[in-house]
Amino acid sequence: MKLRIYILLNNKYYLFNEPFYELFSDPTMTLHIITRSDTHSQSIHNCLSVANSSDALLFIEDGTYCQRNPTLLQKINERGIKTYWLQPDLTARGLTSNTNCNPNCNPNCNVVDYSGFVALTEKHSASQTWG
Amino acid sequence: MRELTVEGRSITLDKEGYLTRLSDWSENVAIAIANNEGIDLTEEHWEILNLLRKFHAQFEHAPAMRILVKAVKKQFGEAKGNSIYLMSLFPDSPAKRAARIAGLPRPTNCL
Amino acid sequence: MSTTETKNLLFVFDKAPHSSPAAKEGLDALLTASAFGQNVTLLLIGDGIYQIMTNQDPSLLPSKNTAAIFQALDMYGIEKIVTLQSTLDERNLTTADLTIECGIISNDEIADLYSAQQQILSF
Repeated sequence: MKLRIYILLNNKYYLFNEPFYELFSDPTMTLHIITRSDTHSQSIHNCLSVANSSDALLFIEDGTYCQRNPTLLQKINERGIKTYWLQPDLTARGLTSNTNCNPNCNPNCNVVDYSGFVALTEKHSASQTWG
Repeated sequence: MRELTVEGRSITLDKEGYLTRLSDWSENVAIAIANNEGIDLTEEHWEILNLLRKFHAQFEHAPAMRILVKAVKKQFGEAKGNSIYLMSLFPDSPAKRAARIAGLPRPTNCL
Repeated sequence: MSTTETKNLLFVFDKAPHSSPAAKEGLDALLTASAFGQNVTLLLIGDGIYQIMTNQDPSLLPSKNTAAIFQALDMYGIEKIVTLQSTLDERNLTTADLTIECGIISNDEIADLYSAQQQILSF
């Protein structure tokens, strides 16, 4: 029997069509999902106080505004934490032209679409959404 | 909810007469909505309707009367940029009526 | 409605545009107030300044492109749009990153601005 999981994102359902044991393929990594800007909320700072270097950060919604803070990005980068940025949320906010998050300049930094988001949650043993 | 049939397509209007789906709009739909409101569209009407559609595309809302007058005045001058002229083309409530025919949402802040 | 009485109204937008309906609601209220001839000032503070950032394209989200509505403020005769230097600095922004003209006021001026208002509306 195959377990099917649907993920609700921006009012659309995405089929998470993988055997569920793959959810636990790498038990050491946590995906931290940042949804608020660094200037309006403490959540990115709280997240960094618990995240370790094998974890990854996914910036979505207003979390993508964290891209405006180079000091913050440098701090994340120095700790070797990978970052992912959700493309539609960057584009909506006029953030795509910002070179702080260009994979060519920063290999730890990646832009993902909705299916990339799903793949990330699949790849990590657990995820925490920081509201 | 009302329905109009245009070129064999069924077009639905909400209870205030605005298109339910703005993407349904075409020039023939405009003609049908106008006829339904007792107006035969002329060149003068189209001038205003095209200006309204341009306004909406640029500013993401339909203007209320005062701003419509201002926009018309800017584009076509004093002779047309006044409420009497607009009232003669789109009687009663020009901003709302023209928005309905132009296939736009209800004007912002038309209370 | 009673006869129109002109008031000084300060609109304060302090939230980013696309994750809540606050920006759209604030703009509707602002345009309405101006249509009724009120003397309005718009203060964009904190993440509210993100509402007028250039190159926004929310076509992939359910949210409206509120930045486009800001372009019409000029036509509505709304000219007093201000922010604080600290709001820009905290976000590494300059006025070149903004889609409309926005004045920068000092901390002294903000005190004067607030004391001149009859009503303050926050979105």
